[in-house]
Amino acid sequence: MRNLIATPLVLGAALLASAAPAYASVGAPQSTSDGWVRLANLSPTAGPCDLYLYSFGNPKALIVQDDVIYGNVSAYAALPAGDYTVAMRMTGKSATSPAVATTALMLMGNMEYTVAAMGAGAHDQLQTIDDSNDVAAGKTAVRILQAGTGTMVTAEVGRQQVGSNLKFGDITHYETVSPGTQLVSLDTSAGQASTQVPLAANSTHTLVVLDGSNGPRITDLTDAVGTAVQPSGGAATGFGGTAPRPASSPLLWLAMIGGGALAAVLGRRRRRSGVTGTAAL
Amino acid sequence: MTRPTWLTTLGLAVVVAGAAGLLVSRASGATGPAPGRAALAEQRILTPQLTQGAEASSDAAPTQLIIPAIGVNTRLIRLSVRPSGALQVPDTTSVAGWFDDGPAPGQPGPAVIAAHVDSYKGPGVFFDLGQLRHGDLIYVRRSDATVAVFTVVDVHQYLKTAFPTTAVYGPAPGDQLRLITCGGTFDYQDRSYLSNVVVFAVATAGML
Repeated sequence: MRNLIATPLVLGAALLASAAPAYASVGAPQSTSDGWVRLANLSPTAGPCDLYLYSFGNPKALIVQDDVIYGNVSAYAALPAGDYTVAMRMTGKSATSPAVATTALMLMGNMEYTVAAMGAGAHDQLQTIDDSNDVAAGKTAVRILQAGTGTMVTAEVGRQQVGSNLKFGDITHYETVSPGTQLVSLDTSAGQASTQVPLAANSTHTLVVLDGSNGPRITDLTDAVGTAVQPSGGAATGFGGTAPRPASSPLLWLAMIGGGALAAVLGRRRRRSGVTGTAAL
Repeated sequence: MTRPTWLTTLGLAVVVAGAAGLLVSRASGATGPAPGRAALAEQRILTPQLTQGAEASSDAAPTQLIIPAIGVNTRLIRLSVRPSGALQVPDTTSVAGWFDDGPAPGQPGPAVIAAHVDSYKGPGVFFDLGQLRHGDLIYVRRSDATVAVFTVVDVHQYLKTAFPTTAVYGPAPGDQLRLITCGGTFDYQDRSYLSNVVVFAVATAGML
């Protein structure tokens, strides 16, 4: 059963326009030690599929993305660290039908993952890809994910070669490049392609090579992005009007008490000695 | 009855005055308790009515911040960085500011909003920020009339000398929000709080 409260999802990349994935509305505990996951169909041959994410051993899906076509990737969802299962069913099959592929996802806190249908030909399979938010300050980190059927793919970002001889399913390491709008160019057995990609400072990207209608095409997935400028230190957001006053030293008051007591005692003594003197006379 | 001398009288008066001064100085060292969350909720900040597509992504500028749990409802100004490199903060303590050298609320990455905890005289708009709890909702209205909704996932206090710059401003997946104000001990010599309170929130649409 798909008892989902369909929530329109924010889909970052331009290629996501056609699908309308739905997230289950579940209020599980969150923290900054959560991990992040997004689901994708990067299989050129599988066809439209439904992707399910389950907490391990729980048959009620936490995420269901319906009708995910080749090249579609969801936004990231935050999840508590733990064990999950991702299942793939062809679109139109019921949620209880046998999955054509499943994979276990051991999700670590503060880590981010893409789980993608990545099979080719008759071999449907799901692959977990570790994404990264790590980039040198002021720079951009990019990698190439080859999800097209072309072979011998060479990719350049600007004039920097990021991958060569990439086969279907290959993923390069992240490479550091200069931020700004960069020309990303591909040379593959299925043809060439190039496109301008805006790469913000302090961001990480996966550039996905897909089969297009006329040769390869490139899609930019933003893996993580930070502020363009990082302010230094903390923020001066208070003037102290509600802060506890610093406790003044009690010594002054104690000295006053002591001095007063001394004066009082002296006064009594003086009076007493005065009385005694009178009696003696 | 013997009558006390003037010296005894003066001495006793000084003792009483000293004791009173001591008591008053001790008492003023502590502030009254902050209003509880129940009292804050009574401020009846209206939860925005979400319209169709209210959670949709938008790069429209944020204009209003609403946090029902702590009675915050403020317009948003824009913040940049000071020449010193530090985060610019609002000139007044009655509004919050969005750091516009970073993502807008509802865009991937950390959107940052800062406001004062207090003025020289009394509470500022983020006076109760530290009372936010896991699961509290934060609404950001945007110039295109859409509303981005976030859920608090964590509240931390950090010494400013150990401010977690990367965790707050660094690359992050998903649509996230950080709220910043001051907290901890106030240093009367430097006229500055020693700590910052940081609220971490993620877009409710992307939470499970």
